[in-house]
Amino acid sequence: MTMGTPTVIRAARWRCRRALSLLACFVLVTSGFAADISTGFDSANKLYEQGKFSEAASAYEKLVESGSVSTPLYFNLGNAYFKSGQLGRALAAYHRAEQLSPRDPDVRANLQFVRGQVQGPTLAPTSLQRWLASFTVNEWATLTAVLFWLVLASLVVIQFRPDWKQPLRNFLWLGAVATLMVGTCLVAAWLNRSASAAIVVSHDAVIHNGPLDEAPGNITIHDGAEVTVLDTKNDWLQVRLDSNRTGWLKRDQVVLTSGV
Amino acid sequence: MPFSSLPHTSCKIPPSVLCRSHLLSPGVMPAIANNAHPENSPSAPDILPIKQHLGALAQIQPPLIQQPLFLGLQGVPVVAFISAFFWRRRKESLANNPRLRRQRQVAQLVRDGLVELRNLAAQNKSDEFFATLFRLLQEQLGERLDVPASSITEAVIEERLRPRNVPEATLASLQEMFHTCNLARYAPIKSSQELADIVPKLETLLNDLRELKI
Repeated sequence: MTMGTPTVIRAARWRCRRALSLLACFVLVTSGFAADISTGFDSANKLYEQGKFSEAASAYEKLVESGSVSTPLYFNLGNAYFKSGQLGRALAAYHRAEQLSPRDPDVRANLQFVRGQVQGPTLAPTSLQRWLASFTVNEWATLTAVLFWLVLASLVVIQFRPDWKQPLRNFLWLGAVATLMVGTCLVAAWLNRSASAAIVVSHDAVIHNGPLDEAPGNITIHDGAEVTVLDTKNDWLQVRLDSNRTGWLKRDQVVLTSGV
Repeated sequence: MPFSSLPHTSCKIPPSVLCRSHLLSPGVMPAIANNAHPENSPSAPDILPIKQHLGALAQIQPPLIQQPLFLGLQGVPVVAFISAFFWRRRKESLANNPRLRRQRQVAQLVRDGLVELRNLAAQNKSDEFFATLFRLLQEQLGERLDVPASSITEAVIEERLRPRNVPEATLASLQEMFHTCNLARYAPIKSSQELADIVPKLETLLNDLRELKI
């Protein structure tokens, strides 16, 4: 035992040093990575300010592909696409920015503005969808989880202190109802976000009657048009333009997004 | 530029868009402010300019409700509640069943007492050792026979245990243990090893008594 104690202390110290080294490495790597992204972002901004919008859009896209994103990154990407005349891709970028920061007025303004420029169908959200989308799915999930934990914590407390049952009764009912309501909003927001939608990114896209090149096409929609995706088949998407019109679009003519 | 001073007549987007944007939030107003768009005239409405700061970075990952860790965490309060519920039920059943409560108390007392006996044997404290041993026998027999522990003497073997068909081996061991206690009063055992040897025998005897169906 007396011989083992210093060994145990040495092992604990070694483990502690190793954990600290790993943490330091992680901090260095992540801070270096963040610095790289920040430099890339500034470079892309310079390209934008020089009027090189397509190059700026490519630079922003490269940053997005790195896996780390932010609202300003998607916002600027949307701006770069808009300025380079690609309304569809701009809309898709603003949608992603909106998913990260649903209450950002700048994002909503540009999204609304670009939508106004689009010829053809759009998927403007209903007031209920807009209200649900004013919080991110993660915010709804966190709120639901907090309420759920509070209700169950109260139930646990009652097990240990049965005399608190009466004072906590109203809180429990309110908490349970609130949890159910917020949980319903979470599900609705999640379904709303998961709803398949697509934005046309080619200049003109012909809607075919079937998923074949030979199938006749009688409707043409333009860059930035938003459609609901009903089905997929090989490289084709069955889309709905409005309540009366459906058809098939080539997969490479659209960018898939989640709900509006 | 104030919204009221915007040149709506030269606007390229429908007025409805402007109104809708304006109603969205106060931040929408600058959306139709001037921007350094090379093709547009200085007064034409335009998108808001780019952001100069990257902002807080986030990893592209599925939402919380699709992450197993988040979903698993929601099980923690459920488990806590179920545990607390069964703890309360057990506590209530103990409160309503004095026999069961005593059984558990005696079991705890015996566990602690055996440890104490080993310590006393190691310290060669003969008097305390046998006093504790006798107390443990009283507690265990009292609990089994549902009588006060202080009323237990060697006489219970003949009066209460033998009529209830307790195995002869158990009775013999019990009798031997009572004899050892009595002898120790007049001729205390001095050896620590001798005291220590009694502990396993007592442990076996107490286990036998605990398993008796009386």
